[in-house]
Amino acid sequence: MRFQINLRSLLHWLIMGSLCVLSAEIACRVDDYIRIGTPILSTPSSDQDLAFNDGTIRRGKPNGRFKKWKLNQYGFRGPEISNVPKQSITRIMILGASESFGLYESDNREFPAQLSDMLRSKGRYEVINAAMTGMTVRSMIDYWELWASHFKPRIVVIYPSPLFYLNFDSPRSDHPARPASVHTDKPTIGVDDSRLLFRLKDYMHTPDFIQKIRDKKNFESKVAGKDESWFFSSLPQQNLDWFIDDIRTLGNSIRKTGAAPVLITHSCKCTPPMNQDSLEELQRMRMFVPRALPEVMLAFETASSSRIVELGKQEGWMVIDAASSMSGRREFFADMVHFNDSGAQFIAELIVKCLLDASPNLTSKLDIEKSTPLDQRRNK
Amino acid sequence: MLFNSFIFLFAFLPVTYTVFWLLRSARSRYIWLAITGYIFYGYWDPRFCLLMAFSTIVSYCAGLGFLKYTNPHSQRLCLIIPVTADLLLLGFFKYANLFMTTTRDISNFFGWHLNTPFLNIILPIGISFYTFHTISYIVDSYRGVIRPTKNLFEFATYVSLFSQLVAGPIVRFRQIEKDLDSLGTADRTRWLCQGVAFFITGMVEKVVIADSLAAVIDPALSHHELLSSAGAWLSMLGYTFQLYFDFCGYSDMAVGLGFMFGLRIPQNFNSPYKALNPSDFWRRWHISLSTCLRDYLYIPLGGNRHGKWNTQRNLMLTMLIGGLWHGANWTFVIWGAYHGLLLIIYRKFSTRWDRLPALCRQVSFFILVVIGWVFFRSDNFGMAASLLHRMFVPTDGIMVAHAGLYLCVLLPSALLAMAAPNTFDVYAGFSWKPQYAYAFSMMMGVCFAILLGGRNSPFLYFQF
Repeated sequence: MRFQINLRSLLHWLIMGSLCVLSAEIACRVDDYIRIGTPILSTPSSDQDLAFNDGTIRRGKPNGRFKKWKLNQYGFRGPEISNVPKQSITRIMILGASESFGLYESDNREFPAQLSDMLRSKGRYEVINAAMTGMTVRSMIDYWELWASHFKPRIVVIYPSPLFYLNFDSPRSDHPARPASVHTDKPTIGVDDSRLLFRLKDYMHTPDFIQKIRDKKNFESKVAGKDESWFFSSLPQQNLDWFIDDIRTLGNSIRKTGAAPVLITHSCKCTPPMNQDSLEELQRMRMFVPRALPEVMLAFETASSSRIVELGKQEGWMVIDAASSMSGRREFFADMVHFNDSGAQFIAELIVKCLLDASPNLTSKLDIEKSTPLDQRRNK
Repeated sequence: MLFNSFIFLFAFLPVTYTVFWLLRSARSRYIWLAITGYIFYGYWDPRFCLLMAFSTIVSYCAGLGFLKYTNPHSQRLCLIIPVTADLLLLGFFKYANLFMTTTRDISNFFGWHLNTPFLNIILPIGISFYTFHTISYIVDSYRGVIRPTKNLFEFATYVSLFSQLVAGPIVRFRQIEKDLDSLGTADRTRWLCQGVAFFITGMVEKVVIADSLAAVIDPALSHHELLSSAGAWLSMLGYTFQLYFDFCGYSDMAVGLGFMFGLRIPQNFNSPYKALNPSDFWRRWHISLSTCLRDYLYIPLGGNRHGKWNTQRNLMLTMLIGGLWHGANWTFVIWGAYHGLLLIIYRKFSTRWDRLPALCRQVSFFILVVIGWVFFRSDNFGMAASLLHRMFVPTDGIMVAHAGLYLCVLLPSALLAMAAPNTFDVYAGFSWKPQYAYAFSMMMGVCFAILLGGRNSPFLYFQF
C-alpha cells in the first residue's frame, strides 16, 4: 500500500514535471515567434537558420531568423530592399565576416546599420549588410560574382578578416569554385532541437575558468599530433600574399561591374607589444587559428593592414585605415575582433567621414586616381 | 534578488523554506527568517542592511520604552524620537536631492541663484516600506493597539521578512502578530497549497502580463513626443494594466511566500479597476498604504470630524503626502493632488454620481484613473503635458509597435482587471485538487520560458 502511494506520488510528480517542461518548450517557441518571427517548428541553429547553400555558394537564408538576427528576403541582415536600387539612390554594400555582420552589438547597432542611419541625413543612400559570419575574402569572390553583384551596388565596402588566412594551405587558384552540397532541411526531433534547452544554455553563463578549460581542451585536440613545423612561429609571408591576392581579385571583380571598391584595414583589440591581457585574448583566438602563435597573429594583423594600404595605392582604390584609429582601443571591442556598440559607431563614423571627405557628392565618386590612406583622428 | 529570478527560485527560496521547516522552535525560526531577510536585502547592497538594522533597533527600543515607561511624557518621547529618526532617514535618502533642486529652482526664479549641491545618494531599496512598518509599530504601540514585543528576533523577523520587505504590502504588526506568536507550531501543509497558488499566479501576472505589456509600451513612451493620439492612449492604457499586474503580481507573490512560512499577509489589491468612484478605488488599490495613510495621517489630522473645509484639507494633505511617498518627483505630488481633488469632488457630488449605471461609473472613473497615471508615469511635467496633449488633441504620429499583437495582450488584461475575479476571490475557499498542480506546473513552465528569454525586469514598485 505504501509502495503504491509512493508510486502514485512519483507518477504525479513526473506528470507535473513533464507538463512544466512541455509548457516551457511551447512557450519558448511561441515567444520566439512573437518576438523575432522565428518559425515555431524550426530547430534553433545559427547555421541552419541564417545560411544555406544554394548549390553554388553559401549565402544568407531568405527571411532567416535566429535570436536577434533577422535577414531580409534576400538573406541580408537589415530591412527589406529592392532587387535593384531605385533611381538616384546610391547603394552601398558591405562585404565582410562576422565583424561586419554584427555579433555582440545591440540590435540594429552593427556598423552597417549605424552607417545607414548616419547616411540617411546626408542624402539618398542605401546600405546593404551583405556580410556573413565566417566569410573569408576567398569565399567573398564567388559570393560577389554569383550573388551580391546582382544587387548593383555603386560602392562596395570590404572589411576583410585576415586571420582566416592563417588556416589556408594553398592559394585560391588551386581551388576553383566548386558547387557546394545542397543543404536540405530535414526535420529533426531530438533533445538538441529543444528551444528551452537552447535558452537554458544561453542563460547559464559558463564560468570563465570552465570556459578556459574547454577552450584549452578544444585547442589541444586541434593541434594533437602536429609537429613543430606545422605551427607558424614567424609571419607566413605566403599566406599574407594569398590574402592580398584574393582582395585584389575581389576588387577587380567589383570594378568590372562598375562599382567602386573601398577597403578597410582590419582592426583588433590588441596591438604589439603584447601584455598579459592581450596574450590571453590571442590564446583564445587560437581556437580558430591554431597554427599561429599569438605574436604571429598580431604581426599578421599589422602586416595585412600595411599591405592593404599599399594595395589601395597600387590599384587606385580608397582605403579607410580603421586599424590605425581603432586597433588597441579596448573600449571599442567586445572581444578580440568584434565590435561593441561604440566600436561599431566609431567605424561607421569613420566610413562616413572618409566617403564624404573624398567627394562632396558620393554619387560622383566612381574613379579614384589615387587612394590615400586617410590620416584619421585619434581621440586619446 | 527578484522573486522572478532563478537565484531566488532555485537557491534562496528552497534553502530558506527547507531550513525553516526543519527548525522546531519559534525562536530559531525567527532567527532564521531574520537572517534570510538580511541576506535577501543585502543581495542588492550590503550597506542597506545597516540602515534597516538601525531602524529595527530604534523601533524595538521604542517598544521596550513603551513597556517600561508609563508616564505620558516618556511615552511621548518614545513615540517622537524613533518616528523622527525613521522619517529623517527616509527624508534624507529619498528627498534630499528633491529638496536641493527645488530650492535651487525657486532661488533662480527669484534671481538669487543659490548653488545647491547635488548629493550622490543611493536610494536604499524598500526604505519607504520598512520605515512604514517600523513607524506603524511605534504608533500602534503608543496607542495601545498592540503590546510591543520583547523578543528582538520576533521584531526583526517582522521588519526584515523578505516576502514584503522591498515592495510591500505594508504589513502592520497587529496583522501578523498572532501568526508570529504561533510560528513555532505553524502547520506546514495547512497553507502551503494556497501559498504556491498565490505565488505562481503572482508570477504569471508579473512575467506574462505585465512584462509583455512593458515590452511594447516602454519603447513607445520613451518616444512619447512622436506618438499619435491613438498611440498615446494605447500606451497609457497599457501602462495602467502593466502597473496593476506588476504590483498586484508582486503582492500576490508576497502573500504566497507568507503562506509558505505560516504567515497570513493581508490583501493589497481588490480589483481596483472595478472601482465605481474615488473612495472605492482607494479601498481597493494598494490597500496597505491607503489604510496606513488613513490611520496614521488622515484620522490624526481630524479626518471628516471637523467640518467640510477641514475634511477637504485633510483629504488633500493625505493624498499629497501619499503621492510624495511614491517618489522624489513633483509629478507624484501632482498625481496625489489629482486623486485628492477627485475625492473632494466625489464627496460633493456623490449622490448624483451614484445614481449613474454601474458600468458607466466604472468606465468613466477608469478613464479618470488613466489620466492620473500619466503624471505617475511621466519623468517630468513636460512629458506629462505632451502625453495629455496627445491624448486629448487629435495628433498624428506613430502608433505603438506590433499594435495587433499588443491588443491581443491588452484586451484580455483589461478583461481580467476590470471584470474577472482577483486572486483572493479565486483562492478564498481554496481546497487543493491534483488537477490544480498540473495547471500550476504549466503556468510555471510558461514563466520559466519567458524568464529564460531574458525579460527579467524589476518590479515597478521597487523604485518607491
